[in-house]
Amino acid sequence: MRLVNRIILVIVLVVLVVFGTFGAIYTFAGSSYQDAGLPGFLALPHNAEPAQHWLGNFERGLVPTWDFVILAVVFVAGLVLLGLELLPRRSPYLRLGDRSRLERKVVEREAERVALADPPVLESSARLTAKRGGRSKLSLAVTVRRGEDPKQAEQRVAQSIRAEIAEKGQLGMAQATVKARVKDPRKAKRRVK
Amino acid sequence: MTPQTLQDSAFDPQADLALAHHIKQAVLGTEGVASISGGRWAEVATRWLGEKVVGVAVDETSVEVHVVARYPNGVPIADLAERLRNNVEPLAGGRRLDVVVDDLVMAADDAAS
Repeated sequence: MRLVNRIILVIVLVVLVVFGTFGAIYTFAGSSYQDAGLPGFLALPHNAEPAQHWLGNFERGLVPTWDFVILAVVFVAGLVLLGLELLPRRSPYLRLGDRSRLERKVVEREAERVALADPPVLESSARLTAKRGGRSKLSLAVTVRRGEDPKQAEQRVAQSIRAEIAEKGQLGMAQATVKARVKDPRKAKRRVK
Repeated sequence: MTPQTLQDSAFDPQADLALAHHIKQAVLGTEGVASISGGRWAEVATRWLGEKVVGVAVDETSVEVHVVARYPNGVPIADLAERLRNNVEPLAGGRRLDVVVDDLVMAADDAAS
C-alpha cells in the first residue's frame, strides 16, 4: 500500500509542479501567453481537438459536472495520500537500550495473553506505540462477557499488565490504557474459557 | 579465535562467516536465549559459497544478532539484551553490534516442547 501511495503521490506531485509552473508563467508572463489561450499556451497539437475544446471550456469556467467531480475526487485523494505519506510510520521495534530492540508485536501478543488470562475477558487487542527515550505506550481493548463490570475488568487487566509486563519484563512502559466493553458471548470470537 | 579489529576487517566473507559461527555459539550459550531467529521480514544471515549462518548478520562494519528469548526467565528482557551484548561485543572486533529480540518463548511452551 505504501508503494502504491508513493507512486500515485509522485505522479500527482509531478502533475502539480508542471501545471503550477505553467500556470505561473501563464498568469505573470504577460499578455502574449494569455492571448494564445490555454490550449495554445500548453502547445497542444492541432489534432488534439477534444483536449483543446475541453481546455477552452475550462478557461471559460464551463466544466461539465462529471469532470468537476472527477477533478475534485483526484484532488481529495491526492491530499489524503499526501497526508498518509507524511504521517510517521509506527516503528516495528521497541528500544530496549543502546542498539538493542524488541519486536513490538511480541509485547502486543504478550499483553493480549495477559489480558486473556482474566476469566471474564473474551477477546483482547493490543497496540503498542514506541515513545521517546525507549518508553512505550500500550493501548489494550478487551471484551468482557455480558454481566461483568467492564470498569472492574479494566482495573484488573491494567494491574496484571503492570505486574507482568512493566515490572516483571521491565519493558519501559510509560503508560498502559485498558478499555473494556461488554459483548454477548454468542457474538464473541471466543465464547467460553 | 582472536577477536578481529576494525582495521583488519576488510571485505573477507569467509572470515565473516567464521565469525558468524563463533558469535552464534556465544549467543546460544547465553542464559535466557532460547534460540536464534532468522528475522521477521527478510532472512537475517551471513552467507558465503552456499553456506549460511542464520540469525547473525556480519559485515565489515556491523554485526546484527536476532534471538528468541525465554520468558519469563528471571531477568527483564532489557537485561537479557545487555547480557547478550556483553557476551558478543568482545567477539565483534569493534564492529557496531545490534541485538534484536524477535520473539519470546513462554516457559510453559518451552516445557511442553
